[in-house]
Amino acid sequence: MATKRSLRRQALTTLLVSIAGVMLVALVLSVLLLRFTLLRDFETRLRALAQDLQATVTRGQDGAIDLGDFTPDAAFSERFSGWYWLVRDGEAIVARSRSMVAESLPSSGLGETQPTKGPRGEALLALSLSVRGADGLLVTVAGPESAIDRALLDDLWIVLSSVVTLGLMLMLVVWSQVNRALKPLQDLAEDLGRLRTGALTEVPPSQFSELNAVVTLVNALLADSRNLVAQARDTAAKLAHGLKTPLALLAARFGTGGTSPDLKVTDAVDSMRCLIDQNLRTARTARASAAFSDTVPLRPVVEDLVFAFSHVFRERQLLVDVDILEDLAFRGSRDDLQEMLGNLLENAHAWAASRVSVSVGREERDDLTIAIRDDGPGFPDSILVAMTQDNSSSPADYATSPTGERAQSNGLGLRITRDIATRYNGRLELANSAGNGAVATLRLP
Amino acid sequence: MRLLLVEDETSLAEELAGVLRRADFAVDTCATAAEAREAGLIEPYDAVILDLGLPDGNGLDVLADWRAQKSLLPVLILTAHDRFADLVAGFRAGADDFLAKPFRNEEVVLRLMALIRRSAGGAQGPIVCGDLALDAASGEVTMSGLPLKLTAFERRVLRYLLIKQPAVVSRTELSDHVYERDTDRNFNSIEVIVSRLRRKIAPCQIETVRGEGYRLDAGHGD
Repeated sequence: MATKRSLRRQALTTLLVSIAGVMLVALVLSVLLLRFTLLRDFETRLRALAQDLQATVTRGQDGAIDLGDFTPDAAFSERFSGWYWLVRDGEAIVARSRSMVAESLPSSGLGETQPTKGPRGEALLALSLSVRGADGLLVTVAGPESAIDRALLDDLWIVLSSVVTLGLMLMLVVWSQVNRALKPLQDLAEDLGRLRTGALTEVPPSQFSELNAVVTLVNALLADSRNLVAQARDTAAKLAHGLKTPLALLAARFGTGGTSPDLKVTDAVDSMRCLIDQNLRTARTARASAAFSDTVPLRPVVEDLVFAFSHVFRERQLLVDVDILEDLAFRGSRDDLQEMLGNLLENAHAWAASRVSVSVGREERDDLTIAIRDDGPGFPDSILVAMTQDNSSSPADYATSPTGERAQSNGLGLRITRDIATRYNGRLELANSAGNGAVATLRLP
Repeated sequence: MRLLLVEDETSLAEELAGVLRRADFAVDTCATAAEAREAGLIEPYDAVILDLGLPDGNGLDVLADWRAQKSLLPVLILTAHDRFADLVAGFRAGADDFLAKPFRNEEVVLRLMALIRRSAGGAQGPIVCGDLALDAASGEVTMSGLPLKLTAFERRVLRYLLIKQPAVVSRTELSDHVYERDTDRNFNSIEVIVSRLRRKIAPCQIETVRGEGYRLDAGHGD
């Protein structure tokens, strides 16, 4: 069943969302931490100011309050700036910052920074200290809580940019690692593709142990499949051969010159033989595929077949030209190549008037092109039409050869050749040459 | 002509031997590779029909042994294995022809006649001696175009002389090629047969070459 889910997309989505979440949490924690640090700084500043004021404030002999050389920064002079100080003598305010104008601050906890409200209702943090040696004298320093938030906002971009940069870097690393992690899978898929086209005979081992388990299994399945094909072919062959000898006995006994000549029986034997041959040859080619492939040098196969047919068709005294470059090879099974070339060469030998030629080269996107020509009467139109159709109709009309028994099955042979070529993603083209004779061209990847 | 039929299926061997005898061949049979190997090297067969799947070995190995011993025995492979690879292997091993089972009897006879004619150096077409002609395809002998009435044994003798003509054929050679292995050989019988043939084929002659044997001759006027 086809699925649109992508391992890469799923891994990237999960990881990137997780990173974004973690970064968000990190951002929040960073902001909280920063605010806490700013608050500590703020409190330290308040305590320093309060201690400074505490150290400089004195009560004179006359009871007058002397602020000494206490000189806070300009914010304490700015009206309602939020930065305030004041000195209480008991409940009375005896001195205050100019920023307070004439307002007051509520009393706050002694020695501890505490939130309070300013004259305008603004949120403040205030710290009160008692002046040593001056009973009843209390100094209070307050600052606006908004100063912390302003400082926080000032520093926030640094936190934010750091977190975002870190997040982006993490995402980049994750994207790169996901791709890197999936690359061996992509390589495996490409190897399987090459296996299917016959460029490889088995999946090469991976450098990753996790994938090697898959590679081992795929190769084992491939071997099993090859064995099954071989077994199926062997079974079909054994069955066919097992039947042929008893049929030979029937043919001999009931044939001309036999002990009980009977034309009907010999005709029936012929029919059975045709049926067996057809099914046996179909079984041989049923699983032809480049996936079960070796590299088969072409020249020896062609030369073997030409040698064999030079004997079979010896009486015809044909001239046979073979033109094949030494290094050309077919990626597939030797049996399949023999079956295809055997059928075509047998056909050419059976029908040639005086000459057969075989030429092999590489054309069209490096395809192997095998052309077998003869100078006979050429293919009948019915064959040329039948072979262009997909419905595997047997061109049995072409089954009458002037020589030899084997050639009588050439109609089947052409169809089988076409079917094998198709399974290798190749094709068989039949044509008649302009002058005289037939040309069968096999194009194989 | 005398044949060796190597076939381990007894019924088929008997039936095919019968067919070949009715086609006027002398036929010896054997069912194992060992027997075939020895017989092919010792006996002067005109041709061999060789099955490949034998109980004690492959027929191709037997054939390879014969060829290694420089035997030129014409060999027709008769097998149920008929892939192109089997065809190639058969001819590469030295076979002269290849026929797949099941076969038509007349096809076997035709192939054998062609093999024997080729091994005797004959060209295509009938073998002719004056008015006598041997149809190499059917094995039929005609005289002036008409079928010659001959007994099976007469036909064996005459066919051999026709194929071998104009060479002289010794009585021993003739008996080697017209008698089967387990048959009592009788030169007197051959003399009788030759005498009868002389009458039937006149004006063609079977000349007796003293101390050597017989030679077929077209006779006067040829």
